[in-house]
Amino acid sequence: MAGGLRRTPVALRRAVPGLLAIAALLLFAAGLTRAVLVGSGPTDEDARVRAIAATVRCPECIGESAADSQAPTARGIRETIREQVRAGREPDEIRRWFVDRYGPGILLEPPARGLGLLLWWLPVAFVPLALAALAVTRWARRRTAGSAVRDTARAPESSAVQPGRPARGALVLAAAVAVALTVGIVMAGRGTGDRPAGPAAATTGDTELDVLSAAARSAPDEVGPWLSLGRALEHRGRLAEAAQAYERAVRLDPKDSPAAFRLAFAYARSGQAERARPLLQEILARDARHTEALLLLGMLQHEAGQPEASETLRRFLEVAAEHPAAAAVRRLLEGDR
Amino acid sequence: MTVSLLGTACLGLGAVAALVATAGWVARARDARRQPPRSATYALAVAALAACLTLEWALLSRDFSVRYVAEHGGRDVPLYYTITSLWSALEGSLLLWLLGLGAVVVLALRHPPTTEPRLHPPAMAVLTATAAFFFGLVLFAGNPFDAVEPVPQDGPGPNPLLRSHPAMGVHPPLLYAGYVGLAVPFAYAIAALVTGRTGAAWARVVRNWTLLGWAALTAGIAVGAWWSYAVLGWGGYWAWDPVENASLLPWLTATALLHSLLARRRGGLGVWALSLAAATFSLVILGTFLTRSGVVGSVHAFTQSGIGPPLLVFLAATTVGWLALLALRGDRLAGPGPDPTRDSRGDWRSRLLSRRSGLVGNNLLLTAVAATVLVGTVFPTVQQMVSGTEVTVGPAYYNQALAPLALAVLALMAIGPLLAWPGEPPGRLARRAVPSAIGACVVAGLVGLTGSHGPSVVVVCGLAAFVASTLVRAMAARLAGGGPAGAWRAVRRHRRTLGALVAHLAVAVAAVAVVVSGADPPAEQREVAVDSTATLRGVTVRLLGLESRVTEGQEAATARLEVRSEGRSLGRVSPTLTLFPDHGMVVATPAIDTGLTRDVYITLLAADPQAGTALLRVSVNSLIGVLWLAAGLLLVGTGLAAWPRRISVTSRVGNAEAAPRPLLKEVDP
Repeated sequence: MAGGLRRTPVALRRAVPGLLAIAALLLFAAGLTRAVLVGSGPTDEDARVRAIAATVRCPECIGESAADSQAPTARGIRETIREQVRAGREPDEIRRWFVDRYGPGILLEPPARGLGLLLWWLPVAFVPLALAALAVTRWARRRTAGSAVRDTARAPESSAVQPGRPARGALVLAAAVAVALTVGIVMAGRGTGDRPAGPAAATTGDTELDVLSAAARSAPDEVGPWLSLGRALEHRGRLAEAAQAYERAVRLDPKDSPAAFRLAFAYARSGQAERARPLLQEILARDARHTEALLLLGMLQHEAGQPEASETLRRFLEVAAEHPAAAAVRRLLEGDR
Repeated sequence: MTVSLLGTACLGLGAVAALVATAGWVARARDARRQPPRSATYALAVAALAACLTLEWALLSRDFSVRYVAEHGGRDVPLYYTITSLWSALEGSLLLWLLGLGAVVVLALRHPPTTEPRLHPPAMAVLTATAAFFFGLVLFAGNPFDAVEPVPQDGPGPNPLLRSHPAMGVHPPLLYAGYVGLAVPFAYAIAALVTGRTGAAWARVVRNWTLLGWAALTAGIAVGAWWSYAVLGWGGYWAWDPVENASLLPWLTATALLHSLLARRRGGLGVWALSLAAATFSLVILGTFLTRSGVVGSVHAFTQSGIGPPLLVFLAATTVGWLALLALRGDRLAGPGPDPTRDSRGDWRSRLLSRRSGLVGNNLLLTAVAATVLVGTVFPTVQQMVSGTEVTVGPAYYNQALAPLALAVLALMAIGPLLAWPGEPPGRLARRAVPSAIGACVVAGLVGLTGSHGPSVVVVCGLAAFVASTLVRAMAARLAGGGPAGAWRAVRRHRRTLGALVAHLAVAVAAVAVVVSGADPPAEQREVAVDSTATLRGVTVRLLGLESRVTEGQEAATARLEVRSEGRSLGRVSPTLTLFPDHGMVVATPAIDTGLTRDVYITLLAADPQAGTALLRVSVNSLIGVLWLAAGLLLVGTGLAAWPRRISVTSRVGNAEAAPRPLLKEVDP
């Protein structure tokens, strides 16, 4: 075999690595072509809906896309996307539809406009710009090094201490960072104060509420979206509207104790105790050991001066002796006596 | 009551000790005849330890008169998670931070840079001042030892997510160890700027501490990814969540720093390495600020409190401080020494293709990645401040923006080991690269022609094969010859280089795992009734039964499933869905059948015991096991490179106790 190789012409032996390389390149090209063809094949409706939903944020969740989340709003969003895909709309059109309604924050990708341009250009431009800066400083250093004393470059490591002109660039940078951070501190100080007061907080709230109420209206027969909307409203102190949302949820499923309790709680907080009490009694008729319902009902009865109050609160203590509010309830009962 | 007083006293004493130590170290830095404030330095570490132990005692004895226990303790919390409760909320995790900082301060005190003693006092002053700030922060912005009146009967316990997986005991301490470890390079960067000395001794001490912090941070991030994968039930391990990004940022700059120190030994990158060391700690503080002040929305922002503004002031002070020092004193630093290996007569093309250029390229790319992640993380907050509109920067952005940079990093890793320090003409380099390039093309071609992979998988597999082949050739070149005994000698001689090569190999393997698993088809979900069967993503599941269990503070539903995949039984699994009404949280703990090349990942999304139906989600995730192996390999390589050289007995006899020794001895001359 070795003898055979030795007899082959020199030119051919020289060409072996080249031929191997060409064969390998052809193999690579074939593999890449096939991969590109596989990737660009026709996709079914599910895949298209998923691809679009993956770029839309689930407004109820933190950092999850509408494709992954089980939240009611995310399900609503997926259904809306499916309808629009069936209607033959393009992915970008569908995304724009969501942006028009919920603002740019609904998309998981930042917009390539305004400040967003920085976000998209930074990764592309960083390395070329840094290389250019590096080349310019080296060129400048070589020019000064040619004429001036060969200062620090030749000095042995770790000893050269020479007073000199401060590096102006770094000084400017330090000043810029100082200004930026001061602004940041001021902004953060404002932000951590009374949240609902700021205009920014108000817009956030509105966006979330818009999304939730849209979700609830788009699936009016589902309990989940109405509950979410109610909770968001309640969180913002809009108790009357929250009660309305909870009413929808309770009407859809009268046996849903969590929904009924939220509704009773919203009634109680908005001063409609007379509507809260029968609701709580209904919950307790289904589940006599519902701790929170016992507590709330007992307190409402107590406030109204009803004699059943002590009985209800005693039942609460039996069910939940370790409850954080138990001590206060005990004191209340002792005070009554 | 007494526990509250004891804990607050520990914190107060710690703050005083830290201030005294800072003053003492500053005095020592100005006048070398002053005695170093050793007792005060030890005292601050002891105070931090005592404060942590006091809070642990309060948690274990269920002393609900202490605010932290009343807010985050609970009678029904098991022993292990009671211990880990220390770092399950903000105030306690600040104590853990202080404990780590105390340990680091003691280690840094005992291991000064021997050949450059003047660097030590200013560095210690920076560390003790940092400790003083954090003592003050705990005392005044969130003292966990405040007394509660009236004393509650029970507490809510820690956040449910933080008491559902043993990684809780490992992930946060590792991350914090990484963070506080990276405070030391920052301290020495300031010391270099103050004294005007960055020599070999500076590079050595910074390298050792950076490796230590980097290794802990790497392990912490990997355990966090595994935890997220095993508990959260969404099927992924990295979500580009702001808090995850906050841990990635210092990791990226610390990685760049390690490489720049390598180039530094051959002359150059001095001021740049120093800037990286300082910037890394600024990013650590920025991350702490972002995640603990409630400025960004995140799944990790478990608690919010008033520590935001003081942390931001600290961040501003340190960052502006080191930048200003750099501006005023930067030119006093010793400039890059002449590179002895550099052939100034060679033409520019040879000089461009040198090992040094490779390291500069590495630093540029890693800095670009860090800048992209940083801007992406703070962008929503900034946009909200500027225009009031809400914007989301999600995984889609990071995947698109970072893909070209990640490919460039891989390509650089592929040719890195081929580059020679002095550089060489392009033709010679190309000839040496040909065998690896041919191998890479063959691997990429085969991957493309078999199976149905997308172009990204094909390209990354080819590049990874290129990397692996050059790394293996570089390893073989060092180990070849001399038989087993010779190889062992070679391992000991080239330990650092081999460690670095192993770590690079791990990164290439991880890149393949990340890209291949990222291209997996999405999960499939369906409602399944009891005693019926469904096939999702090629996995056949049979729902045997549904159980629901209501215990104190939680309602859990478990689906008992029999699983078959590819004609093989995977046995019985039971994914669980747990609702914690007190916390308003649902945790879907998946059942994972782990294999090296593929995991079957089953999540219970909803259960209706009355109707006897369960909503199941099934996905088959490729190469996740390989990803964890790669993380392990990365740590093995790091350990190989960082392990201290055995100190020879003969050279240390006599003054073993007297002379302080460097933390990690060097191997290379």
